[in-house]
Amino acid sequence: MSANFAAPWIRYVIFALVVAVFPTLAPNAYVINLGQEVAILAIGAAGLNLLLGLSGQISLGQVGFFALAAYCTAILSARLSWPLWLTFPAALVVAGLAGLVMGLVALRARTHFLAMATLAFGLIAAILAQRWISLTGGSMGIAGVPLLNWGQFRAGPTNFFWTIGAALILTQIVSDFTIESRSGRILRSIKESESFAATVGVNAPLWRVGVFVLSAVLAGLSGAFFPHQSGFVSSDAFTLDRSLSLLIVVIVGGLGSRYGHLIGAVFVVLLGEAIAGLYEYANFIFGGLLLAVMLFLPRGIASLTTIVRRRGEGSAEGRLESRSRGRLPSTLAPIADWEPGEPILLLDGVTKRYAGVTAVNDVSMVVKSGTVHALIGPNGAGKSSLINVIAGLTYADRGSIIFAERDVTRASAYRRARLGIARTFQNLQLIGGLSVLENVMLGLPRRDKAVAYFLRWLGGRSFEAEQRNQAFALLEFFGIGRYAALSPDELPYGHRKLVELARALAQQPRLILLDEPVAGLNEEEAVEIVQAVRSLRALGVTAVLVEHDMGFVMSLSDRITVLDYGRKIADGSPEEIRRDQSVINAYLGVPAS
Amino acid sequence: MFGSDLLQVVLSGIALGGTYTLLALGMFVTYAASRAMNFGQGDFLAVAAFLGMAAMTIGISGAVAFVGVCAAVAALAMAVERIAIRPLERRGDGESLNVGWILTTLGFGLMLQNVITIVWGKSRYYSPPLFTSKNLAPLHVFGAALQVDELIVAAVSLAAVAGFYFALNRTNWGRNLAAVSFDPATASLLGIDVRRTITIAYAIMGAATAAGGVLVGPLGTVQSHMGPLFLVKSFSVVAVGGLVNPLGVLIAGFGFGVVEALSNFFDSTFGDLYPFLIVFGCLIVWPTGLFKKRLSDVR
Amino acid sequence: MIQVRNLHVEIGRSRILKGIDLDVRSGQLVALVGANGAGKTTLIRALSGLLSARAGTILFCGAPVDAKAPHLLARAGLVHVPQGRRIIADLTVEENLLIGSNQIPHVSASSRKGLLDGEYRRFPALWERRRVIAGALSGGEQQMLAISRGLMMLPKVLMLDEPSLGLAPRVVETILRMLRSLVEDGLTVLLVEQAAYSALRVADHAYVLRGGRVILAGPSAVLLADPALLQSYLG
Repeated sequence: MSANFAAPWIRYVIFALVVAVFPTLAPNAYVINLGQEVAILAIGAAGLNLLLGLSGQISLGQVGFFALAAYCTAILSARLSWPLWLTFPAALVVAGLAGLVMGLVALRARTHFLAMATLAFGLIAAILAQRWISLTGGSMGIAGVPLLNWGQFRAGPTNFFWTIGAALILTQIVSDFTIESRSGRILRSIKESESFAATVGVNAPLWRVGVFVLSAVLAGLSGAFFPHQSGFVSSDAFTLDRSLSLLIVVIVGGLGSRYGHLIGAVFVVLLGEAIAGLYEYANFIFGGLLLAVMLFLPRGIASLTTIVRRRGEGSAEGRLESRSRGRLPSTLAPIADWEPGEPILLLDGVTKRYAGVTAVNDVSMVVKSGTVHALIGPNGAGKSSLINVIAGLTYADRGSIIFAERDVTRASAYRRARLGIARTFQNLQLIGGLSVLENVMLGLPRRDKAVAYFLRWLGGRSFEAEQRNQAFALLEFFGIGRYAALSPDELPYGHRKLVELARALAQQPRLILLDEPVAGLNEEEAVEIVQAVRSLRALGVTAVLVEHDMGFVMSLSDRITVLDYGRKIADGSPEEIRRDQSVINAYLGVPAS
Repeated sequence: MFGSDLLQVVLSGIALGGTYTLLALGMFVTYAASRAMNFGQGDFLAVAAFLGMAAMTIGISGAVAFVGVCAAVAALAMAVERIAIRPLERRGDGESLNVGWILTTLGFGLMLQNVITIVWGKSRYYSPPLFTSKNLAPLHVFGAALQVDELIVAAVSLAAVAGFYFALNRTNWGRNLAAVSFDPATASLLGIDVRRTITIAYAIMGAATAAGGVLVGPLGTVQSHMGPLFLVKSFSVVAVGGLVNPLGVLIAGFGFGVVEALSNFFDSTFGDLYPFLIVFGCLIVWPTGLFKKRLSDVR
Repeated sequence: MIQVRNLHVEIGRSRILKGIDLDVRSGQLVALVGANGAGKTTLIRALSGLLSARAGTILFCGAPVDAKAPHLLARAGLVHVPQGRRIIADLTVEENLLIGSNQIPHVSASSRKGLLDGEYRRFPALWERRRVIAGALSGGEQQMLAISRGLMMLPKVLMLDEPSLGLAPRVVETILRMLRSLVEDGLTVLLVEQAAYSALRVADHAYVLRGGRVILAGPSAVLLADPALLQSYLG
């Protein structure tokens, strides 16, 4: 998923050579034209790949941005005689603004609603193009658009190809960088779980809109080239079919992969050539292709070339041998800036209602720094709701929450994460699309300056080396370093829980919320978690945990709060709780006297 | 007279709105059953419109053509459920799309669109009125001329909504649908054959869409690419009507049709687009639609 | 009636049940208790066909359950009342009561009416609220509705998953006593509960689950006196 076979800059040098040499090797101008078609498709598809493949937002209306940019540059250059180095940026700005609007729509509309909204956007753009004749010339179109041939007629197609090839290389750089860097990890995490992303400090709405704008700009870039290819643009070119062909390119090539849009573009253009005699059946074939690929090869062609990942040393199901327990580097040590024993989390009268049910009823609780504080109670007692309220995934209806002397009652989840609250999830929110190492890296705070970060990526050598080492050290700390390159789905359940702990620790939290850390684990695995939590406490991290397994809770906690029907019924040390009659009654029912 | 012109426009808007309502009811029932819908539904409408036109051009009577086309498209709908929706239910891994059905049904619709184009080409066709043999003259009400076909469409959509209410509230299938929509697992624990419930829902979607298609032909022109715009408009209707309430869908459908007809009357170039603006506005203010739930949306 | 041998069930990649042996004999009330996360709900879902087994066998009335669709098992008499009631919130009480029964073939309309009247006699509150939308009922009333709905399906075995969840203790006692009287009248019941004492007091036989395994089993009177029971919960 992230292995770099060659430093990025080398890839682009090779790419540039290919682009440079292609027109010379091409037997005739027609083939060069095909190359241009591939480039136009690939640039637009790159944007859709990032949008749908990484952030999971579906757009059936990319043709809208394509058309906006195309008309913008055509009108400005043909009618107002603007030079192309001005019309292109203008076109990109227009497309970007439209992308901003649709991105905001995407915040409100999800999945099939978004699909319909973008479909509507594309259709409306097509209708406007067709009927706003004074602006666009409608079907008759705009003629006399300057060709992008750098003033040479005979070598025109070649020059056009080189220019768009350069744009394609730039697009590839942007796409690769987004996928391979922290942005890629963040976008993938948003796709799979927005609430989780918030708990690692990600401002999800901002990223969602941002990637929408990016996809719009890239669709616009390909659209901007379009009129200057033939000197002519007509509304006939902007149909739903164009949005669908971008979709087909991306799906056939491989959604979310680095080169899927290129592979798909080449495939689609070549397929178009192959069925040239059957052009009447083109839509049938492409429609059938979309259907078939989704059913039988959903990861696209790119998935065929994925090298089967090596299994880690020793089988994934194997027994746990003594593994090296690394020491935690000082740079990763949690912010132990709170006096041990001082209250770090204060809940006062917290109440939370869901649809007429009072899940949490007037609960007050004090958590002391450096302790392990457990929250227990029978099924349905309100423990998970309370954890979600503390983490900020929902807000309390009444009461207040003070964390590190700050009132966070109304703070959003990602704000609380940045203040130092980390959490693990009952149902494990590990991102399947990322490796174990990358999952842990999601927790690491961002340190680099943008430009330096980019250049280091381009250079390839030491990109994110420090972060990788830190993440690896965290994995080693929990004894699971050998899984670093695997996908989380391949790990045994117990070790996936450890990965979540490592990721939470990566955030250098003051407080960590553990939601059922040993649920579903066997004895051995549970022991590992106990050791892990003890190590956390030794580092000065405060832990609040929800758990059903009493053995675990009793052996580990410094203090226990018991909930029943949303109310606090007991609060004290493990010994006190074990003997507390009201607790026994709550769990087991009233014993026969 | 302006008034009678306006009345005529409103009434033809209601007729067109009836078509949207029929499609929207189809979306409603498939979504309730399977939490998915047919993004090629517009193309299903087009298929029905062309089949209806072809049947009547040959000389088959309106009523027989209607029933035949409904049956054919219902079969097509059951096919799309089997081929494009059901196989994607089980995909559970984190990487794959949970909206893959959008793409598969789009692909299916694209194929249908191409079939139409192969047989009939891309030009616009005028579909013969439904009841040619009877040669019915338009009715005159308050000076406005109402086409019989328009009245029939409006009547059929009212009948369809009534039929839906009946089916949802009084038949076993309707109550089973409520259970399946609530939670398929619970429904199966109650002995409900979930697969069959879903298949019937899709067949109903097919029949309703076909009805709309056969009836819409005579109202205007038919063209192979007419599908997507109908899809989007009908979805707007369902979104405003709330994805869960048949009466809301009816009101929203007629409303949309009337707004569209009036907009086209006053601005023939861009009239199509004004209803969309209104829908966007409605959705921004009321994201869950204007009407209250009839079926539980809990999943 | 139900015979489980060496049952292993996985969810995703986690092994939840690790070799369960269980018997539910005709005319008994069998309780399945254990702390949360022990696998009780998973076991009952495997029995009703919602989950498939990785290994092991489940026999219902002598016939294997494996790979049979849940709705067919339900119609055959293996009725599962799920956790959290799961009433169809938008249907009325009466519609909810009838919906399961409507799926059972060979039941005449008059006998169905007879069953319905029987349930209304059992729970007069349901009769009073028979036309009310089920979502408006209180938790206790919903639980009564869920049980009646199950009984309307003429079960051979009635399986209930934590009927006490979220209910006041007095209501829980009423429901448990009602289940006991049903068993006295000949029904077979499998009761999954977290509140062990309450469940054991109405049961004939019991199994205690922990970590996906049966750690205690036997007549409920014996288990009630066993200190290991308390220990399995509170450590």
